[in-house]
This record gives sequence, structure tokens and C-alpha cells, in this order.
Amino acid sequence: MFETLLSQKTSPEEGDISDNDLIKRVEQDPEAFGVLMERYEKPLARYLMRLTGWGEEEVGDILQEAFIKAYQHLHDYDTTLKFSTWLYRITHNQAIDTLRKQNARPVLNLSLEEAARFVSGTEDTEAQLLRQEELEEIRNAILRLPFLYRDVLLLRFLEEKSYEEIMDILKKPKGTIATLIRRGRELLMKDLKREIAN
Amino acid sequence: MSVLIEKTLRQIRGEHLRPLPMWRSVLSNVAYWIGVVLAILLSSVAVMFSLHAIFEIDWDVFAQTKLSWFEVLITSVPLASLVLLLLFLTGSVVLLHHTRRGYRYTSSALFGLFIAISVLAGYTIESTKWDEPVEQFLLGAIPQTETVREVLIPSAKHQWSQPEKGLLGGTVINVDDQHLSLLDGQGKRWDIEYQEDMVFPQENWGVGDKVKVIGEQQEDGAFSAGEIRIWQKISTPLPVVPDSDREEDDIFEERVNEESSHDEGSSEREEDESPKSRPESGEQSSLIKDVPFTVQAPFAEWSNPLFEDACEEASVTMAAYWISGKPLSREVAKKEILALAEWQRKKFGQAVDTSAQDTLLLLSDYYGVTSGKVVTKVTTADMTGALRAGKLVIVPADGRKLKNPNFKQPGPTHHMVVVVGYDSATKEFITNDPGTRAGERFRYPAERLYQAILDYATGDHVAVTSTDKVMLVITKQA
Repeated sequence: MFETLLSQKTSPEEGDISDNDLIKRVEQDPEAFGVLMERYEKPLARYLMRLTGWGEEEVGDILQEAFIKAYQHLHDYDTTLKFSTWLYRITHNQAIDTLRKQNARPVLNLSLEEAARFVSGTEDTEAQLLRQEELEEIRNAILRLPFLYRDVLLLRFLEEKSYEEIMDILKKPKGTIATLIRRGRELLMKDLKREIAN
Repeated sequence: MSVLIEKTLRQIRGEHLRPLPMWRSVLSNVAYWIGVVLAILLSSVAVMFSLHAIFEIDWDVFAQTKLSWFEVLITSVPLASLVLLLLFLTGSVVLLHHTRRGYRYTSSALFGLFIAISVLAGYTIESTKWDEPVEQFLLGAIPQTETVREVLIPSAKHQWSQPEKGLLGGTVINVDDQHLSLLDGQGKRWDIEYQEDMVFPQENWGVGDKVKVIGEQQEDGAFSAGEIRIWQKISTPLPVVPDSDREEDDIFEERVNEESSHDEGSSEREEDESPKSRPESGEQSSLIKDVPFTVQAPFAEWSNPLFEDACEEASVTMAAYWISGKPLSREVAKKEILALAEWQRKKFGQAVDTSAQDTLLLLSDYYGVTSGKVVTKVTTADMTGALRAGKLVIVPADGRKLKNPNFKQPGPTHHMVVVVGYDSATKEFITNDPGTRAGERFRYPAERLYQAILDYATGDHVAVTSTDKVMLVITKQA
């Protein structure tokens, strides 16, 4: 059955099998969980790399533990959410736990292009200029941001999650998410301007 | 399939992992919701206690006293209840955040919502008759010391028990043009000088009414009033029942004289003197003065079966202390009830219920009061007659038929109350009912109380077979 599911994944009909249908099948056939993992492995691994700055091996370990937790707590999944949102939440919490246990500081792993996306879309014309000329500075400023803001900006501008999704991933009210994004960007812009002035 | 997925599936297979059962997830969510509801309920009760205290306090009085603002705050604001309210509200917010989607709401919004619900529910409980049973139920679970009770439930009673600060409250036991006597909460007698124009509101009042007096303590037992406020009024002024050695005719003479002495008052008084409000002949109003009151669980020990079944002991204690004239404080009442229960255990082998006859033994053999007797086949006329003659009446009753809203419903099957008076205008017996904290001068429709009377046997809630109506009649010896 699992092999069939995997083969379906690559077939055009694969999209017809929803996450929720797959979750129901996991109850009878635990191996069906492999299909769900395959769907979200890459985006989650990329998110973890951006969040922690760690390499493939460490990220793989975190992700494996996150998948195991998701599998064991499958009945905690609230079907009103997207399955991806729930997986992001578990992965995020697993990453934070690991960082805390290892007493490690997360190092943001961003390309210059990715860094630019933190300030794109702003109406601040000065920011447009900065994006063009000082990408390196932007990346440094992002690294200096408190983790709380960096976390939420990453989900918003690189993972391109909606406010509702971020609310459900970080388990914070929507208003708080909006405030964190606004303040994060303000802090970022302020820091950038100060650095450039210096 | 990637290496990571293969590794994960291998781990699942190797360790025989399975998704945790759904009931665990459901149970955890339900448990948090139950916690939220309980915390809100407790918040509501804290609001009820706070409102109870706040409503009862006469805030304007503080301006006329020697109390500092700090003392006002400590003695009047229900700080403990407010702290508990804050605690329960915080608990409910924290618990709701742990429910499946609770994180979507801000703490401040939830806090505001829960305050609104608690205030609404607390106000509803406070303004209905449910506050007493709720209070009794909860107070059974807290330490039974006076201090703890007063910290948790500051009340007007506490405010008006500070004669040294000029605040005195109690029940009027005697009154004339310039002097009144009252019994305070501790059963102490006070003689108070006053003038008619000091009484607010200016309406008919007299013996049996509870009053608040603002003034100055002169010496031990004497007080000079500056203002008198009617606290709790009985519906019609009742004549003072004289000592038992006085002739019955004297009662009515005293009543007429008493009413004449108030004649100089307002037109409202004149209305009260109309023939309509006068007692019918044969069933005149009466009230036996200075019968002390105690609830059968003096410190709200309702969860203790001994106090739950102590209505006979409490009734006998009230009668004995009425005869002796000694003050009956809560501490004393508790000691007496415990001692009577112990005495019963030795005499009858249990201390649950005692029949009318055996209750009389408590009075005669334990207290040495021999002026009591059991009357059978009684009628309401027998009861009102005994009261009019200044005799105290104790009746065993089916507590469920009394329909007292303050009882833990449906009420006790075997109960005993002290009857201290009769109001012919409303056709109500006035009782000292030990079954509720609010039992002092509690009024029952005469017919309802009479129908509830029954002669139960000594034992542990023995089924009642007799249809006899009995009462204990106690005469105050000269």
C-alpha cells in the first residue's frame, strides 16, 4: 500500500490525496506516514536551516525527532488547521528545545537575496535603496535582531506564511504576531539606518 | 524516498511506535476546559463574597468615625476575596491558553471576558437566595477559625462590632424615648442614650429590629448615640413579652403604652396604629426578648456530621442560655454543642437525632432546667398561647416541609427550631432556626411551620411513623 502511495505521489493524481486522507490511512497503515513526510521534508529542512543556521546532519536529526513526535501525536492534530502548519509548529518547537538543551545560539543562515526579502515590500524608499546597495548590511542587521522578532520575520518573509498560519505555528494571538512583525521591521530599519550613518 | 524518511520509518517499525490513542488527546483538552470552568466558578464566588461585603458596608459612616483610611481599607475592603479573584482569573486564562485553540486569544481579552462573566455570575448569586447555600458549602472547606472567616468575608457585622471606634450594631431588646438596649453580635448588652431625631429612616421601629449605632462608647456597656440606622427590620413592631411572673393583661397595657409613647411621630405611625394592623384577639403578636441565637454549625462546620445533625443541641443551648441570661458567643455555642453531643453519646449511644422527650432530658439532666415540658397534640393556638405567656417553644419538624431557601436543599428530614414569637399581622411564627446562619428571627408562615411539625424518634434518622404534633414549652423561672 505504501509503495502505491509513493508511486501516486509522483503521478498526476497524487494531488487528489489530501493530507487528511493520508492521516486517516496512517491509522491502518503506519507506512503511509512516509508520504506525508516526503511532502514536507524539504520545506521543513530549509526552514530549520534558516532558523538555526545548522548543517544538514543536525537539521536531519531535529527533523527526524519532529516527524516521530508528529506521528505519535497524530490525534492531537486539529483538522481545522493545515497539516503543514501543524508540522511547522512541531518542528519549530523541536528546534527550540534542541537549541535550549545544547545551550546554542541560533545563527541565521541567509543568502543576500533572502536577506533582502526582509525589507522588500516596504514603502520606505530609503529601504529600497538599502536593498540595492547594502545587502550585506541587511543580513548583519537581521542577525542582530532579537530571536523573537527574527523568528516571526523569517516565517513571514521567507516561509511566506500568512498571519493566521504564523499564529498557529507559534501559538500566539494574531494581534501579537502583527505587532512582532511591525516592531521587528522597525527595529531592523532603525538598525540599518544607524549602521549606514556610521 | 530520502535517507531521512527511511530512517524515520525504520525507527517507527523498529520501536513499534503507534499514534497515541485519541482519548488521551480528547481527555487532555476536556480536562483543561473543566479547569477553566471551575476557575471561573470560583472567581464568581470570590466576586460574590466581595460584593456581599461591599454592599453591606456603610461607606459614609467612616467619615464620622476615628478610623484612619488604612483601618477602613483593612476592615472593609474584601482584600482576601479580591486576591482570590485575581488568582482564579489568572488561573482560568492560563488554563484556557492550554486548550486546543486557546492561544488565539490575548490574555487581556480573556481576562476582561472572564471578569465580566464572574461579575455577572457573582452578582446573580449574591442577589438571589443562593448565596447562603454557596457560602455554607464553601466555608465547610476552609479553616474554621473566626480570623480566617473574617479575613475571607469581611462584613458589616465586623464593621459594626467596633464600639471603641464608635460603631455598634445589634438587636434592640428594649426601647423608650431616650434609651435603648441592644444585644451585640457577641451577645453583650449595651445601654444607649439617643434622641428620636437621630433615627434614620424615621419610621416605625422597635424591639426585635437590628440597628446600627454611630456614637461614642462611654464606659463598659454604655454608649452615647449620634445616629441610629435601622439595619434589619421585622415587619411590625411587636410587644415585648414581659417576665413570666407578670400578668398577661400587663402585656397589652405595655403595648398600648409603648404605642402611645410613639404617637408624637409621623402620620405613618398613625397608619400602623389602625385597627387593621392590630392583632386579632386570641392570636396576638408576641416576641420573647433576648433569646440568644446560634447556628448549629457556629463556624460553618457543615461538612462535619456532628454539626450537621446538631439542631437539637443548638435549640437546647439557645433555651438554656435564654434562661440563664448569659451571652452566647459562637465559641461558647460550639463548646456547648460538642459537650451536649458527647453527653448524648453516653446517654443514648448516638448523637444524631433526639425525640422531643429526650430533648427535654438534655435540658433537664444536662442543664438542670426543670421548667420544661412536652406537650402533645398541639395546635397553633397552643403555640401562640405559650408564646404570649412568655414561654419559649421548641418544635421538631420535617425540615423539607419548612421550605427554607437557605437550607441545603431539600432540607433535613429531622430538624428542630426554637419559636420565639408570633406575628398576627402576617400570620408568621418568628423562629431562631439553627439550620441556617440567617436563622435568627427567621419567619415561617404559621401554617407551614405547623404542618412541618412531627414527633421523630431518637436515633439516626429513624423513619417517622407518628402523626402527633408535639412541642417543648419552656418557662423562664422567676
